[in-house]
Amino acid sequence: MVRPRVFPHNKQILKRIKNTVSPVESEKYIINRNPRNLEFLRIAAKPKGYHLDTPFSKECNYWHKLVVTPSAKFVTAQLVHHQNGPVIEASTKEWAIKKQLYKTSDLSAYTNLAKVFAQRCLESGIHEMSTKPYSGTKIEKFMEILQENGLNLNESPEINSKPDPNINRYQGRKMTPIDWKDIVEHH
Amino acid sequence: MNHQNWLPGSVFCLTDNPKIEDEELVVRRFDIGFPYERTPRSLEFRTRYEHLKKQKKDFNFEKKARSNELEIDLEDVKNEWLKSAGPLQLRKKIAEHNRIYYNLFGKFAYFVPREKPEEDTMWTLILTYPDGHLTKENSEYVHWMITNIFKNDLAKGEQIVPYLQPIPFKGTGYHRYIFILYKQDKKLDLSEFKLKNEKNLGDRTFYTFDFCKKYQDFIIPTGLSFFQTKWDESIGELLYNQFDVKQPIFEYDFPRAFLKYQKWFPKKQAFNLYLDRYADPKEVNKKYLEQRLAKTHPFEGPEPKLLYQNAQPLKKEIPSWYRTEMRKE
Repeated sequence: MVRPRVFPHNKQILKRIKNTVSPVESEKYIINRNPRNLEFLRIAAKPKGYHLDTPFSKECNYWHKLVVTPSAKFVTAQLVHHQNGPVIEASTKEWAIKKQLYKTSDLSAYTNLAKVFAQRCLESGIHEMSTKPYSGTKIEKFMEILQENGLNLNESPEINSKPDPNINRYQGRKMTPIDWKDIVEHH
Repeated sequence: MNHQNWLPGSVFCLTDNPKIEDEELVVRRFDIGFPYERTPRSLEFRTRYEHLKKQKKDFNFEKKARSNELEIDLEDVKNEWLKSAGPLQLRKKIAEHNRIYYNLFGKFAYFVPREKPEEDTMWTLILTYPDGHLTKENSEYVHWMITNIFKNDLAKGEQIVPYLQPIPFKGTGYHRYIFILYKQDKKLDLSEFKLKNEKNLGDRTFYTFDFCKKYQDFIIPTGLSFFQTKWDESIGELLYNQFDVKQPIFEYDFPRAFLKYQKWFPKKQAFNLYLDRYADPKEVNKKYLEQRLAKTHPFEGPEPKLLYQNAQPLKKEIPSWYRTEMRKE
């Protein structure tokens, strides 16, 4: 017997699971086909990865992330979506930017690229993105200019998400270490 | 490979083709816009190289770059970017990100928005609203339609559907509004799209796919522009004044909890929590809201919270489940 390719196999259970997601017949409903709607409303789920990987709350936990790739000669800034890949790109390889720069990989290139990238992001309607921790004068200047131009470099957290199990719940509480000598001496 | 299939008796062989639910991956998509006209690379390269060479020799320019005072002209960058090919494909990426082509034209068509020089042709401008149709699932509302626009004069064009402001309903989140500009070969008569009744929102139902299919021979989509909006107070007034309808308020339909069949005598389950799981969530919320409101004075506000809440002694006669409820408050 070949089991169906869907999990769970039991048809009745499948039907009941589907019922939890489908709209109730008696109520009126609208289907909003906008794929970015749930992300803007913060209801969509962010990819969480495997919970035993640490730190799982950081690497893949984003809707849009900013990726800056410096190469020997050029710099590229990309806005990457977790499903659709790079959505907005700006790089000093483009003739439009290259022709106005003296050198395509120095500090002024980074600053100007930041302005162009910020403009393109805001024009496309995306103003929040998550970033990896960075260090270095050029990138710091890049991020500074992005923030000046109105981009938020921290994505807002999801609503209705489960609490992060990797958080140390006892952090901040004063815990005095147990001194076994006192206990033993009492007896 | 699905491990559930690997059971004794099930046959797994190469002739078992995996079902591809996403046909987009397999079927080729067609560009229904203008083809790309490219200047020869050799010409381009020569002019650009000359330009860069000049720049490198400029002492003042180099000094500015060194001291980080160099500022790019953003408008110039944008114009230059729009002329070349790569960035227009980029715009296609952003449009794909918002799934515009899929929702308007179906699985098989897309177009790359290109700016054509001013020619003696006529244009059609349509503003569509693909999300949030009240009755039909895959259709759009047309908010504005003007045909036979000559050069840049919108006023002289034939307005078929009068402009209606965006109406994203309350609670439904963000909606896309899409402008598409079509280039016409000859003068078109689109009077079939005229509204019979301005007060009926259903009259504005529109299918871009059918529209394009019908006028395939005369129309090419060239321009694309879109934005996302949310609900505003003005929409309520508009719906009431123009359409004589009370504005609908929506709520996101979160998936309901999947529960086992309810038993008469569940073992090892707290009875109050078990019953609350199977009750209508609105009833449960109402109950807790009433309890909370019973404790708030209408003028003085809620009762002040106790400092050490868990340290308040509760009588032992009160059953344990009731004690936890009291502690929760």
